[in-house]
Amino acid sequence: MTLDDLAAEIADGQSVAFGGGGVQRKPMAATQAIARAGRTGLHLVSLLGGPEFDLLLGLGRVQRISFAFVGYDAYGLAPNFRAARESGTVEAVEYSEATMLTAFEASAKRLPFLPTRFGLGTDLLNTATSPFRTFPCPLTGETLVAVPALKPDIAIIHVNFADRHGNVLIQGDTFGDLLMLRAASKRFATAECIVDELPRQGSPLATVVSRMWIDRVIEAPRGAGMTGMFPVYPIDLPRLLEFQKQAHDPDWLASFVSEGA
Amino acid sequence: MTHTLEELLIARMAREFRGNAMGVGATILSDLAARLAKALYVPDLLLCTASRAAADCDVHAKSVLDEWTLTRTARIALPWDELFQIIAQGRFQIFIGAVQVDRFGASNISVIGSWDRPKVQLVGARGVPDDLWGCERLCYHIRQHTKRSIVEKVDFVCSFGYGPGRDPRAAKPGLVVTDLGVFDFDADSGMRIVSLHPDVGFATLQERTGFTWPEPSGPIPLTPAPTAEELRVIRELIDPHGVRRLEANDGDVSALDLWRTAAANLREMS
Repeated sequence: MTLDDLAAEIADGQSVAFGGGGVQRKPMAATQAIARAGRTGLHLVSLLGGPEFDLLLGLGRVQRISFAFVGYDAYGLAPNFRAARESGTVEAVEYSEATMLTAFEASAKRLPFLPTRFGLGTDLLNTATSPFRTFPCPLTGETLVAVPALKPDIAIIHVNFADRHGNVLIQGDTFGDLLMLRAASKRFATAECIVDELPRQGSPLATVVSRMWIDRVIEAPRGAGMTGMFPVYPIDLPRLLEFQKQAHDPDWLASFVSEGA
Repeated sequence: MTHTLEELLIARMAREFRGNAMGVGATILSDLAARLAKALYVPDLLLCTASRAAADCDVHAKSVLDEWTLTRTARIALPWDELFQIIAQGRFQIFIGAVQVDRFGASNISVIGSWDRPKVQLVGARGVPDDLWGCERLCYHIRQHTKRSIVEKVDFVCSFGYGPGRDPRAAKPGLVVTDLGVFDFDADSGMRIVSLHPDVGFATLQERTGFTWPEPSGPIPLTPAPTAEELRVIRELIDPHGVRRLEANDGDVSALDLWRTAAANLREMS
């Protein structure tokens, strides 16, 4: 399977959830393939969005975004996310980190919602598109937040290794990837490298995701593009800063997309 | 010993961490403060900088490529669902780099202006509405104390502070450390001056605050200078590369320069 095959499995208007966080381990090669395939009207979902949001927003392919954060971490704000929000050209649904993880968990358990206390009393519950409702706990009477299930049509993560069975290994921070995969209908992993079997004596800092939660694996060396991929390559900061500067220009983005990750 | 403002801020924030819990700084200086605290005061502080996959590490020199450095001694990878269970159980301490903190301790990192059509879209509420429900208190490191950052009322409530109807189970607004001074909160009267930094007078504070301070009733304490030991640890152990200068108001280093050096070192190591 190729990145183009992956993009072909996505329909216009579907919700696509991206793993990684900010400028770390973003599935940039897959995002570029989605852009090349001309997919549009998308609903982007990410716990911590980054340049993948900016790329698709800047090319005008996005109807709606769901996020707890969108930015370039220590390197500043995401320009197209900012422009889209400030001009009101995208529908936005804002979560906190824990409420988005709770929404994924509810979907993974095929529940309509799960309760939490996180976010209670904040303006997250007052936004025009807030998916949250408060309710009295049937056991204690305390006010809790009902977080509805969030079920992306597609989830895409980028990983260090995949084996021939479809198990994958993440050596860096897993961010919201694990719950996001379990929440989604169809799950893809792009991998730096496909191996016969994952190493049996792994680092205690690495995380294995079972093939139960991965439908397809695509080999994509350097698939995180200019974002960081521990321990293989760090953020390509000069390239990221250039992207941040040029991302407002759809022509520049179109040539960025045709170059590959 | 002479010291910079950044060094004073790191040393002051380091006094706030307690042991047997996670200590996180969301700004460079507060991250260095957590490392200083572990190095000198609370050896069992659980650090988790830069990456949840490099958690509970020893004290290392700060780098713009922290994950590579910290992994050398990190003992665990911390899954995010576990992180929020640690928060829910009150074992998480954080300095948040808020964009706005108001007189009664509410904070905002999401939007300036209205949420529907923001004047400035910032990064989103991130984990602040979550830290509010579990942490004992929320502390803030505000890099530039201005009328726009220390305000009468935040534009969007990512965490609430004191005020009518406050749920007493939520985190209390804790310490606010800015480039002018150190502040805390009284449940009834709101933000209070704990100390001002050297060469900062009440007039400057008033000029750069978005609400009116009550006239001070006596002399205002001075923020304590870092000790010689703290300065040695900052300069030699936790920040020999000078990453702290990225948060200096008169900063003379660029992230790109620090990244170039760190990336070159990484290539050498591999």
